[in-house]
Amino acid sequence: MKWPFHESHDRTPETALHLAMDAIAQVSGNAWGTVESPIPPQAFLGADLGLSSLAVARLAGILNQHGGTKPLPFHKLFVSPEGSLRHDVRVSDLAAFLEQHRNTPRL
Amino acid sequence: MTGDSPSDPFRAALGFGMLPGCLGHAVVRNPWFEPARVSLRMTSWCCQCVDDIQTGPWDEEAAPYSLLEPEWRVWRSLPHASARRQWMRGRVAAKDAVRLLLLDRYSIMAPLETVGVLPDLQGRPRVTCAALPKTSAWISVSISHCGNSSVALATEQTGTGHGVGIDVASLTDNHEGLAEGGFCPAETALLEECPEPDRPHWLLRLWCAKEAVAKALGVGLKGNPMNYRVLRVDRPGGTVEIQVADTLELADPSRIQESVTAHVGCDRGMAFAVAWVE
Repeated sequence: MKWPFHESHDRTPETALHLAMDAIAQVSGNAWGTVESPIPPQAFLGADLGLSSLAVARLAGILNQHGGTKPLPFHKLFVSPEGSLRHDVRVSDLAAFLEQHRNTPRL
Repeated sequence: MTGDSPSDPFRAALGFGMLPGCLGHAVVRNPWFEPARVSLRMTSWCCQCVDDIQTGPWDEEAAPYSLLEPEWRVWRSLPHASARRQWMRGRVAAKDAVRLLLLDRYSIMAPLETVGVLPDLQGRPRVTCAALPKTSAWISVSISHCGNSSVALATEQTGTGHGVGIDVASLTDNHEGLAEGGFCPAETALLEECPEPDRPHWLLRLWCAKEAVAKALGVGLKGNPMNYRVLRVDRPGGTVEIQVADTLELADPSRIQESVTAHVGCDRGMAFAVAWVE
């Protein structure tokens, strides 16, 4: 698998968004949603892109493999800042999560 | 339980095949016996609805003949054509499973459009049907989607709030990342005890087991697959024990002991899991 940001230490919002979009493109092959290119940052993973919970778990696994030295706390992605559970998240939420939690990539 | 034969009296009686309003479209509906067979504790029926990905908007043609008005409103509110089609496939499979159950248990022939399957506040499908007999039992139904196929399991239940859950996953799709993203190290250690040739299929069985238990409890994964932890795998028996996180808000936590059992298998190109909580 190609991973353009494999050795990047860049934690800019743009890099995080690219990371999210690249991983989404990898897991969206079996989804029903129309995955536009580029993927709209405001699109919801479930409602717009059609990602199943299995696809979201794959997304977590793929991002973890390349995300850094520590596992990403993906369970926090679905918790809103107020503490309530979010049933769906936007691509931009995932990018913001990566920007916040991504640490030194594994080499 | 009857056999999977073309002369099956249930199938003949219900006229499975052409969906009303769907003349010329490739939509195939049939009972799926394997998932129902593994849950021998109760009467349950499983049905599958498959459409041809190339076919036209069959759901739009079938909707007036197949949906109750509240269902039609939910279906119309979905933003994408592919989402509407998936939703309709799931409703058809669920209605067929409920109809078979009604025929089996009460000798009631319920037309497709008289059975309603609507999501409740938690998104869990609830069955309505004017022909439902007045008993203390209620019908629990669960729906799962996989590619262009939807399946549903319906069962009669007398418990309090929980129900039945089914989940399916394609054996041929790419599942890279699932082991890392869906399971903790203790669970992947259990997976590694499976013989190598069967391991990818067991990975899917274990995933489906988590989903099926989450659906049976009516609370879903809550965004975190680690809320459901694989405790034990009985490969010869085809069962998986799932421990449920005590942080989940369940309708009746006293019904859950140490774990919930999911029955797993592979059939029709899919891994599947079935679970129920009384």
